[in-house]
Parts: sequence; structure tokens; C-alpha cells
Amino acid sequence: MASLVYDAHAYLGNSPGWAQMGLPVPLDGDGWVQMMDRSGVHGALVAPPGVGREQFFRPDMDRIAAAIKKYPGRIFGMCRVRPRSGREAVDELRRRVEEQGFSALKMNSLDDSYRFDDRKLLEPIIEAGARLGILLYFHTGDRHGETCQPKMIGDIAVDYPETNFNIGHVGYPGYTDQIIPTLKRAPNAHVETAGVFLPILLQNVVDEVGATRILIGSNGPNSAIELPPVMVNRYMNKLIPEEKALITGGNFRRVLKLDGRAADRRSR
Amino acid sequence: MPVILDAHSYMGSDLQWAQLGIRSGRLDADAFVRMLDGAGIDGALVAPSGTGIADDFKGDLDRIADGMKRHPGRVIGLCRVRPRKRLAALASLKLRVADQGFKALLLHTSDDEYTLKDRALVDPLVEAAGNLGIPVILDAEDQSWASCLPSMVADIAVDFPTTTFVIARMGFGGVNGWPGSPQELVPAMKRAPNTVTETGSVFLSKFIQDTIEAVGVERVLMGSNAPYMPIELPKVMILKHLNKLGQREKEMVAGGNLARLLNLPS
Repeated sequence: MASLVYDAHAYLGNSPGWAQMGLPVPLDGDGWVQMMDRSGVHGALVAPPGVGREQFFRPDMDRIAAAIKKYPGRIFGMCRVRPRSGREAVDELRRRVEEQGFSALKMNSLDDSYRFDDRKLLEPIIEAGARLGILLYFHTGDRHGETCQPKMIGDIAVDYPETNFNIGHVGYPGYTDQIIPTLKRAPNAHVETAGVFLPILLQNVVDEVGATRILIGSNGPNSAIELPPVMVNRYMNKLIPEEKALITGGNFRRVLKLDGRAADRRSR
Repeated sequence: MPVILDAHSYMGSDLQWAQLGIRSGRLDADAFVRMLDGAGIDGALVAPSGTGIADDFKGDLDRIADGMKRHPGRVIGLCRVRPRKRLAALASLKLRVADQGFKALLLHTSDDEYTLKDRALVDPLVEAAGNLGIPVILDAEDQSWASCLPSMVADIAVDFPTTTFVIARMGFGGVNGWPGSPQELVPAMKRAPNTVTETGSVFLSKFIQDTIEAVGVERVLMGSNAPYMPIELPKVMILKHLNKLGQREKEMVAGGNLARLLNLPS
């Protein structure tokens, strides 16, 4: 049986621009599952889109919560918070994870004009995420890449060795040279590929740190969710099938502890 | 059957390509056509890779010329020259187009570290391309995008109104926020009606759709930047996921527009 494909970086909610791809807006769980079925993708970790910033992403996180409930095992939630809201952000994260089954925290320094090396600001939310045992996702690269460099995530990750970290966009563009040193320094850090259709760069990462450290992400629906698995399975031909399976889905299941969760449920 | 054509790809040698499973990093015409077949693509406008600069791209241009002979209509030659070679560059362009059937000129500002504002360097080649009746593609690398802005292409295009100019990679707009020119592309294309653009490296669907709506579907070409990027991805994106477009419009972007631009037999 072919291994299941999971997308580690996507969006669900109300982003008017998605109508430009002929998608329904808002894009809810039903729309997402139809899109995944058309694209050969089994499951996706979705966050609220950036346009919901003024409302602290809450309406879209409610949509994600509904989708998680309706499509267990296919829709996974990333809780997006603005750290300057302090205790509120921590409480929101706990509620989304404990009551609604969200699986990860998403941080983008653009959301609250902060930097990933502002440890005083970030520590409460990171500590809460670590205690909850979820994946901590950090956006890198882009026009504001100076504020969200991969090495800053590495600094955090070494202080939380039991927690899985995901470095979004492989530091592209502008900060890809920090990726391999960061992954070597922080064995609990990973990268995801959203927006990065550069198989040479990704193969270099595999060669240096192994195939267990990369997850495909799509940035979908901003980019088509079908593209990353096509890239890995058909155009990264130095990889062996087992490595492709890890990158397109196996690593996702491990960092989100999906098999562990199933085992936990069975043992209860 | 619609024709599927890629407006931006490379052949030749690049050691990095070994990382893609391409043996010794050498992509010859036969291997290139196998790649097209695997992706369901009919043909591609193909240039020498940047590593060929050591011999002014001569070796790879020869290989492309041979590939054009053996795979007519599938390997479509894109002549890459170094403007600082001046008369030698002009001679190479004329030879490749007039004698060997190359269909377009590629000016890549990374090759000789110039900018499109250096009109004394650029204009003689642009004029020659116009006389030969071929379009000019203007491109740069990630790190040198600022030397090849859409506004600079438009400045040239308005001075050569009978030649078509292709703004490569949509002016670097939409590449995960890369500081290129998403805001600049559309005004530049509106100012110079003899410009078109191609999608190499661009996977933000909204940006492509917005551009199509602003300048017209006939002015956007599918490009891949292959093999640096997988040749199949733009085709999948356009034909399956740009769903505000009708089928006929998708087919124009995926190949019809390039066939028209290059006067290829339908």
C-alpha cells in the first residue's frame, strides 16, 4: 500500500484572495477535504490565514476546530497566536489544544511585529506549547526574514530538547545557509518545504542531516497542495522510496505523534 | 489536443543536477526529451545552464542545436549570450537563429553582472533579435533580481515596439515574498504592450490569476525553470488548480501563447 501523504503547512479559513483560484471562500473543512481528495493528499496541518490577524485569528481557528471534529485524522490544527497578548495567548493555546484537539503552535513574527530572538516575549508561549507536547512551528524567510531567522529557532530548540520544532519554508528566501548548521545543532528541529520548489536544496539537507528532518508543506491553498508530493516522489530521484515516504508523510506522523496517539487511545 | 509548452528551461551540465538523480549532472537532449515525456509536456524553450559561461555557452548551444535537429518541435532553442562579448555575442546570436533555428534570445543579467539599465550593452543585442524576428527573454538569479526589474524591461520594450519581450519569473514577484516586483509587474506590462511574462519559479496561484486579469490571458506563458525546479509543477498548477480560468484560457497559458509567440506550427 502506498504511504499516506500529509501536508505540514497549509491554511483554512476566510482569505478572500482564494476566490482567485476558483475556491469557495471561506474555505472550510468540507472544501479542504475535497481539495485533498483531488490532489492525492490524505491529511493537512492547517493554520488560520494572516488576514485574520486583527481578530487574533479566532474566527478562522473556530472554523479549524469544526473541521478537526468533522474530519479526524485528515484535518489537523495549528493554533496561531500573537505573543504580545501575553496570558491571553497562552490561555488560547491551551484551550485550542486541550479542548479542541489542535496539534501545533504557529508563530510568524509579522503577526505582532516581534523577533524570534525576543526570548522574554516568546518564553511563556513556547513553554506552554512544550508542556502540551505539541509541534512548534515557526515561519522563516520572506521580506521580514531578518526577524525570524532559522538560527534563532535553533537557539530555542536546544533549550527544549523534548519538543519538536518545525522551521517553515526552509529559510527561503535569504536564510537557507543557516538551515544545515541549525538542524545539526538542534536534533529536535525539522524543516518544511512550503513555497520551496528547489529539490537541489532539499536534497542537500537530506544528505547532511537525513530524510527524517524534512516534511512537505504546501502553503496551500496559496500554492497548489498537489505540488510538493509530485516534487518529492517524481523529481528527487536520489532518494530511495523509504526516504520519500518519510518526507511526504512518515515524518509528519512522527512529529505529530499520530501513531502514539492511536496507541494511547487503544490502551485506555 | 492542446499543446503543452514550457517557456523557461535549461539543458547542458551543472554538477548540482546530480542531486536530482541526473547522472553526472549532465542533461543532454535525449534525457531532456525523456523528462518532457515523463511530465506530459510537448516541447520546451531550452537555454544552456549558467555553468556554460566558461565557454560563452558554446558547448551547450551546440548540444541544443543537435537536440533541435533530432527532436524537432520538442527541443526549442533559446540562445544565451554574454553582452560584454559584444561582436562575438552578436555573431553567435545570428548564427544560432539564422543557421540553426533558435527561436529566442535569453539575456540573463547574472551572466556578465550587468543591469538592464546599461542600454549601451543591451540594445545592440535587442536590436539584432528584432531584426531576426525573435522575442527576447530577460532573466536574473535570485540574488540579482534588482538588475532585471519589469520596469527596466518596459523601458527597453517601448523603444523596440515591434519586438516581444518576456519578463522572466514574473519579475520575481510572488516567490515566497522575495523582494522583487509583484506591484511593479502589472504597471510595467501595461506601459509596454509588447511585453509578456512567464511563470518560472512562481507558485503563488493568486498572483498569476491577478496578473492574467490585469493584462490578459494571452500575455502569460507557462515556464518551469527546469530542471532546477520540477518541469511538471507549473503544468499541474495551471491545468488543475487555476480554476477561475476556463479550459481554453488554461490551454493558452500552458502552451498556446508560446506557440503563437514563436510561430510554431499548430
